[in-house]
Amino acid sequence: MTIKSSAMGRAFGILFLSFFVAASFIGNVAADSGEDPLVIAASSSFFTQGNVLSKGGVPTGSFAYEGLIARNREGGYDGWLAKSWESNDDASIWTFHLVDNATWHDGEPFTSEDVKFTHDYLKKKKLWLSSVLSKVDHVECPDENTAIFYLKTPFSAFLDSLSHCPGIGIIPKHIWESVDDPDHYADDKFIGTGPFKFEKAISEQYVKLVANENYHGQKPQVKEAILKIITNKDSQILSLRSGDVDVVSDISPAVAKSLIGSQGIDVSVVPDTRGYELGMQCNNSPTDNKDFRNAMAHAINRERICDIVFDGYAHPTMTTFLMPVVAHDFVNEDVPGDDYGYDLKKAKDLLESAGFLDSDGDGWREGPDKEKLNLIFVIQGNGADASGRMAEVLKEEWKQIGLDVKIKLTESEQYSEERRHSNFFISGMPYLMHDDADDLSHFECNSYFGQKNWYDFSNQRYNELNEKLRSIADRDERRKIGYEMQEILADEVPSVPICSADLIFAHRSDRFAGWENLTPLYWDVDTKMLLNLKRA
Amino acid sequence: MRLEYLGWRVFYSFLAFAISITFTFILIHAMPGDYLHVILPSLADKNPLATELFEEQFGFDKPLVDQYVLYVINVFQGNWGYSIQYGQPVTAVIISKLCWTMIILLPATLLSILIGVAIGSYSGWSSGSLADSFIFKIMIFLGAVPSYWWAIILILVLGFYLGLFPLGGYMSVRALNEGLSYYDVLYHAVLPIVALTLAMVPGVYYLMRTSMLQTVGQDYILTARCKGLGELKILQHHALKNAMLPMVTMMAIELAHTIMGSVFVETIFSWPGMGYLTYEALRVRDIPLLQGIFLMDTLIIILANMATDFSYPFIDPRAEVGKIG
Repeated sequence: MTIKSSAMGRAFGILFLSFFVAASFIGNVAADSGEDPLVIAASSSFFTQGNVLSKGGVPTGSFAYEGLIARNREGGYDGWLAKSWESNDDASIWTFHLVDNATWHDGEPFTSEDVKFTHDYLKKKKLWLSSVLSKVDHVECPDENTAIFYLKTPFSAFLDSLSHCPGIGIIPKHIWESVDDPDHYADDKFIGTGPFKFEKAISEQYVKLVANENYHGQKPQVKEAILKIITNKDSQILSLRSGDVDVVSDISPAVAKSLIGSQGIDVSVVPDTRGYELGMQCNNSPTDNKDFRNAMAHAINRERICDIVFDGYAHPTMTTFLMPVVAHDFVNEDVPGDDYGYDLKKAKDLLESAGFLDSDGDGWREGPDKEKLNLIFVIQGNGADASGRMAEVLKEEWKQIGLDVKIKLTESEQYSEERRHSNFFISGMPYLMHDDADDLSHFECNSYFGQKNWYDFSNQRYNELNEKLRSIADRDERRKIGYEMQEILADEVPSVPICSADLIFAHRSDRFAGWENLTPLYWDVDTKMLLNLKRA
Repeated sequence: MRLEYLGWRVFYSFLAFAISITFTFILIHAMPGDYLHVILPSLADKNPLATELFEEQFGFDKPLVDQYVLYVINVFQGNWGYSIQYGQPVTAVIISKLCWTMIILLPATLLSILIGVAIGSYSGWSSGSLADSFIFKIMIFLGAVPSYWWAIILILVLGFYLGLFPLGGYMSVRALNEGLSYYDVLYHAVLPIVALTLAMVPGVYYLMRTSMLQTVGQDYILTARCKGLGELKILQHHALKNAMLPMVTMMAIELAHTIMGSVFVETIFSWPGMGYLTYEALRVRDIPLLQGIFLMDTLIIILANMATDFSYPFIDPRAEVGKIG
């Protein structure tokens, strides 16, 4: 037994040693590769699964496809496949003048027929993405470089629909006209017009893109970009530290702080990319009471939230829903005045004058009917993200004014339903939802497809204004209407602004330069960012 | 083995499969949420037309009974549907992921069985000794540590700090130019295999140790000792063979479970196997794919159980499958 055991041990030892040597050898070889391309850490190979139409638009993240226009942070739109555009007075006819030198990645010229085809194909195949174009009656192409969208009804937010969330990417007619069943079509070429061409992919592992030398716009300086699929965020950071990848997007403030000072790694910040508000249900007691909501507006310590939850990577916001940094003059600076200021004494006074008193002396307030308050703060997920932590901070804060709040965690699929039965929730949306007067439609009674808004907020004048806003294309007119809508929101307080959080990128500054003034549309490296980069 | 028993066994397996299909269908369709709400919540929330079109596009607008009947007919015709996410037949997606899962889970399962059996039988044989006590405590520690912890530690120590192994994935970036290299895949598979093996060994060890403890007390072991046989011979020729019997069932079930993959280990190592696929399909509510995955799981478990049953008489001639009394 002893002899056999030691023999077995020796065999294992030799096997382990051999493997160790072999592994080390392979490791050395692997480390020599991958110097030239920009390697981007990606959480999934979403881009190469199925086809572009099954993914819901291609705002800027696909690198290979383009839309007609792209939303920018200056409150307007950048031309993409369209160089200019205009609408008639009532925003029912939209004309796009297309770039005249664009070609598809396979060399075929891009024309207005492709734009018309994209619209017609989505509608003909009844793809869910066609819902974005539901207000479009038909598209006409008077010449190769002009596409005219005729809408069924006036719609001033049409450019918003085309450009993001999800937006519409233009597909090549000469490829897609032979695709009979788009639901069951797994693309392997991804022919677009974008600055990068899809070259090849290794399933769920790498996607290789090469610069499109015939690109109609600013040509990329980075010749090759590789998306490396790393499903775990911590592994992405380790890969960045070890030099396997060049950029990791959307990292947490804690990770960002830990990376500061690391050799060859810089942390870049895109300010104000997510707007957070405290949402209140206007149908459930006691948040159905306007005075109660008003009191809550004074019970939010924004500075504390920015420090504790975001580690300083956020800024307090005091404007009604729209964010000045992206919505610019659409923000009515005169409202809400100082009605959102943090003042617990004022909050207490308002609660007391509204009849919310601690009548039984147990330290917690009761309602005007002397009944115990049942305050529910619903949070999506496990509470570990920013919303959950904000709820915790607010819960602690509100103890000081005698309010006991229960935090209820819920799965994302049940969140919409749970929100309806709660009092408070955190609304966290990208800046794209806070950058235009159109975004105020978020509070419209039935939105434009008959659904209730998140807050169960209903105001007749507000709904009328929103209806009017939808049919006016003139910017000044829209701004005036938006101002009045903000006044109503500041008065009714269905939501209270909290802060705008930054997006944080970590990248290898020793390999690539041009990370300054990043303005991605969402939270990942996108086309616009890639065009700025060059080798360090 | 009786033919009649074989027939009944196949029939019951078919019945189990049919019941499983039904339960799977009901449970998956009872889950809240859909693909569209996950990938584009803002659109789905604001624009019910998108949801309406989505349901029509993928046949979710039909009555649930109609969907079920169609699904059952299709399954038995070999058509398991198309993945919403991948736009490919569900079977093609599953098979491609299954291969990757097998690359790490098959060696890990076999290694854990080998190591677990070897250590477990030694521990059981020398029960009460210092070595047994030491091994037992080590195994309690190993069993208490979840697989993802091993994964993180291995990546940190062997991958990041020592730089001996890659930090994840199944191929290095040069594969884009040079194509697939088996050594490269093997190199990438080492850490996931080690993590899984460490997590699986204690289970095998406990069963083997218990089984060996029961065998050690049997009369035939005493007889062998009385005959003057050496300890090693008794262990090899008498104890081990008999103690191995319960392991057969466990091995079959363990191997069958390998197709389900390991969500944590696959996620941490970015290994595109069944575990991660299941997690993703569940997350984005890719219903056809989810149904296919659960169907495949059921099928493999049923087949593994049948295989275990039928293989028993070959392993232990005393066992006669289908004979009562």
